[in-house]
Amino acid sequence: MSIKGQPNRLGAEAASFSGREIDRSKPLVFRLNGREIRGFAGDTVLSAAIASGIVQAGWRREQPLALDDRFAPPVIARDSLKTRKLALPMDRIPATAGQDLVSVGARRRNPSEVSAFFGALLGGKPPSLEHEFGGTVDLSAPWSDNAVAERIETDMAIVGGGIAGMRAAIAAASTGETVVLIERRQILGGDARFFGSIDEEQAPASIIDDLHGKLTGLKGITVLLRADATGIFGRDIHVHQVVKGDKAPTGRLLVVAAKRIVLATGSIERLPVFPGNRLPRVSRAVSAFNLADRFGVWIGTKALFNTASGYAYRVAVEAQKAGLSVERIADTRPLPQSRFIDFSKAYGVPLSFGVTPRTVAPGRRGALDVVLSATIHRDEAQDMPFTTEQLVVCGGWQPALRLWHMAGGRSRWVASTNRMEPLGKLEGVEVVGAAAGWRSSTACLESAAAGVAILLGRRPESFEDKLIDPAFETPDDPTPIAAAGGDGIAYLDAGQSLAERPASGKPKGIRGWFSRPEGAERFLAQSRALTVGDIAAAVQLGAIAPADAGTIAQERCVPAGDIAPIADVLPGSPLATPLDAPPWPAYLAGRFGAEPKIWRLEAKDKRTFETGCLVFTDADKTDPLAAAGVVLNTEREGATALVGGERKAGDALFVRDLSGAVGVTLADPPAPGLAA
Amino acid sequence: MADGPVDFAVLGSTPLALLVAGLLAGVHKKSVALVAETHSSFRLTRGFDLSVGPITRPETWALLQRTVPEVRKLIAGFGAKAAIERVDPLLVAETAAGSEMLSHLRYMLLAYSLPIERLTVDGAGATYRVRDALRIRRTQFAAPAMTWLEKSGVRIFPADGTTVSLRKDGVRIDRGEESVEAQQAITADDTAALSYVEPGEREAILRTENITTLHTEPMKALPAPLTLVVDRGLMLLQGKGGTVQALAGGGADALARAGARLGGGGKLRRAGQTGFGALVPADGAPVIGGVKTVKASMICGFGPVAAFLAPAVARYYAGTASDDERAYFTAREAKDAARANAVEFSGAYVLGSAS
Repeated sequence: MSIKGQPNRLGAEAASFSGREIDRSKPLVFRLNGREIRGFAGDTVLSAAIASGIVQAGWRREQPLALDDRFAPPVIARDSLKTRKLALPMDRIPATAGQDLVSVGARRRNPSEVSAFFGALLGGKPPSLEHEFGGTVDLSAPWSDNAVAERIETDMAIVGGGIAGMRAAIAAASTGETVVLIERRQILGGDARFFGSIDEEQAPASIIDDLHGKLTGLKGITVLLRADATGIFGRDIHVHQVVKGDKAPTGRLLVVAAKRIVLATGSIERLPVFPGNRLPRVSRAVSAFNLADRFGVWIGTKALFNTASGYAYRVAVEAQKAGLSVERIADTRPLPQSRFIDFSKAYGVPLSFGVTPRTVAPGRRGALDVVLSATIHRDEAQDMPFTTEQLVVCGGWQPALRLWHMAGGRSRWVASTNRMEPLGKLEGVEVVGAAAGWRSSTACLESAAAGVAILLGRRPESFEDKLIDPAFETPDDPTPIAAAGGDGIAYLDAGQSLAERPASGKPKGIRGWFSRPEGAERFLAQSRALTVGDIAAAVQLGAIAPADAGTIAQERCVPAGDIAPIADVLPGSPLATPLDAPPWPAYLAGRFGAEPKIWRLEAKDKRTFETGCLVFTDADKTDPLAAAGVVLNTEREGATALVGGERKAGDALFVRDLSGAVGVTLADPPAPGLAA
Repeated sequence: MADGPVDFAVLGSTPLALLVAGLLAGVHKKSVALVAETHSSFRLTRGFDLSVGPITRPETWALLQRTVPEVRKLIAGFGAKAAIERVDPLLVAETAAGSEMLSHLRYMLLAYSLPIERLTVDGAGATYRVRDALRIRRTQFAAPAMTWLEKSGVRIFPADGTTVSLRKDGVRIDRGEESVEAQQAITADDTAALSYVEPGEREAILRTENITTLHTEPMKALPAPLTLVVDRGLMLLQGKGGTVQALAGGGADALARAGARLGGGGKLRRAGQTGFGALVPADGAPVIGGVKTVKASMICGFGPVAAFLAPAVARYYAGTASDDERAYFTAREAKDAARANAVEFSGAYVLGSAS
């Protein structure tokens, strides 16, 4: 069923997984790290690379690390290697025929036997970009150093081009507001197609089509595609956009200066925590769905599913429809009820319930060895070993709150939903849709309209999240977390933080109030910016207290941007200097009596003295509290000093420098106007 | 149910606050309630506690000569020996005014037999190393300090969920059904003063400065694990893994201030960031006391050495201070006419006093 040179590309007959965004009539070839990559017009470099068999970004502590939409190094044209800031993100750069690209980052020096083995399966081509992700992971955005190409002033900026963002744009533009809609992907619609509809709701594809039609019919809306909102600073949104260009894609930095901001950033799929959860061929359900739905890409031909949510069943059913083999759907919930379960049964997919992932390891011939753990009784579990070509996991959903935090918003851990949710209000900023915690597409749309109304000072329409009765659609389980132990690294989330599972536990009582739980130190010492998913997993693990999660998320879920070395920024003096201030530092005031005077000191041996040397009336004195004065300025011979008490020219004093007490005389009467 | 009034309500969660509360209760036999934030140790640091700083008054150094050994002994005594770390911080100036101050500081420290060496003089700038300074590691300090406070009889209230009402005749602390009256409140750190003292009361003598803490990804080793850039309003602490926590004043300029100092360490990447308010004395002199309409006293602007002054502060509030200690703090009372004689270098008090 796969296409020559593209082992992970499904055929055009693969039903809804044939790839909506690619044009199979326009094949293309480009090079990545010297290897020939085949794809189609409409592919991104990332989707084409995965289609061509590259499923591994590299290595971390001798373990393979998957390449996916949340963890991919930037790429750069080979002839621009010296200009690193021209690099672009793999998931946003359109695949272009004839390009010769190189992925950016530290390389593994000695490809391992495992890599060679995987490579042998692909006709000698390594399945990996062969980067080494050591102590410091550098997936940094080299483009962040570029100059801002354009500043766009607008009434309202909307971040996120899913259905909530599209609805917000329409609502705002309908009132005459100028709108800039910022979307990471190359088309609008977000993940609505993955989530589907509930009961009588309109189908997502139909909603997207309708919204698209309305958007194009309205004036004043600027849509920025392939545009990533990297940060919010006040009301300025920093955006990096990939532009197709005449010859090759290029990047540009924009600042969208908005009077009002809508954050429709959606939700992020949580990663179940178990050893080996970021090996190549372990995919999150939404990533697997998008690769297949958008680009017709699916890793392998057989897949095993483990899910804490009903939505993964839809992916499995669509995969089965596309001719792929779904070996089993293992649900963490003991007795789940879902309309999707019936669909799955109808398609003959084997099902298991009350099953959590325990460990995953690289298997033979490019497969994965998966061990699931089935709960038999409360304290008894039975291992279920599988060998598969792809493990699709679904750990529930976490509102994407990074920009909300950056804008100054707070969040809190909500135990009933097992996720961080936005807390409180921000002037001029509204968070809507799945990012605000809404689930149904209807509620996401309504919340977007309501958010715009609030920003415009209007009364929002009331609405509710119409969800299916739990008796018929079992709520999502908390994100699965395997029992501690096992080989392999257990990561807390997908993405660049690479935060690992910490130990848990915390002292009890008053001590516990004021101490970090054991393991929190290690968790918080993670040397890079964290994700909200990391924080949520750490709460579930007991590594951080729920009450602290909001603060930690606000501090540590930051864009890992560069810290600008601007050399000339120094604080101004916090104290205004009055015009009649004496010509010595304010911190010397009162040190030497009420009316000290500036004198020139002369040493018998013509030596000089440094600023700060203390002046005494007695050669044996050393206590600064007993000093009669202090040297203010070094002169070619001697110094000027601030000296208190009744003095006259010719008086003998002693200056203490590093050599000891040195005799001096007051050479001049104090200069006019220099007395305090 | 209300109990009888206690002598002091200490508000704050810095080492200074905890030490003062414990000393008032344990050494001076005062009844004390403490209202402290419970989660401060989770957050990026809001301040550092050092036995040295850009302090320009000899009377402060004279006081520290006495109190630093007391604090060291006290902390070791309640089982937090690991919370005390010996460090050799760098004091760096980049301007003529900063270099001038450090030169004054150098000769003052030498006079007190405190080891300080000049490493470089570069244009207007200069770098000095102070040897054998002490730092309190807040994360290792808080838990054993709480046990000590409990044993000393301090009633402890987590700030979250506790209401503190400052009044003309005293203080009331309410938490659920529990309430405590206190004769006097002490806001022992900036966070507490910002939380509990009316802005109108503060603003006459203190202004709010926005401070940023940056947490960086690992970078190559800095010249010293701890650096104070006195005129940039910047404090840097590098951990064993190479990450740096940088405290910088100046709000929006903070990134640039930190970046300018750290830029030589290679690519500098942010791993965390937070902003918070600190209080800066408007006239440049540290503040003790200062609240007119309610029975409360603020401690602000003593900079990174504040915790190491705790024994003297406790004696002052307990009424057992020596003559020189009383004179020292009286000169820093907000209403004292001689405050000009207590002014410190401007960079000294920006950092280190938030919780």
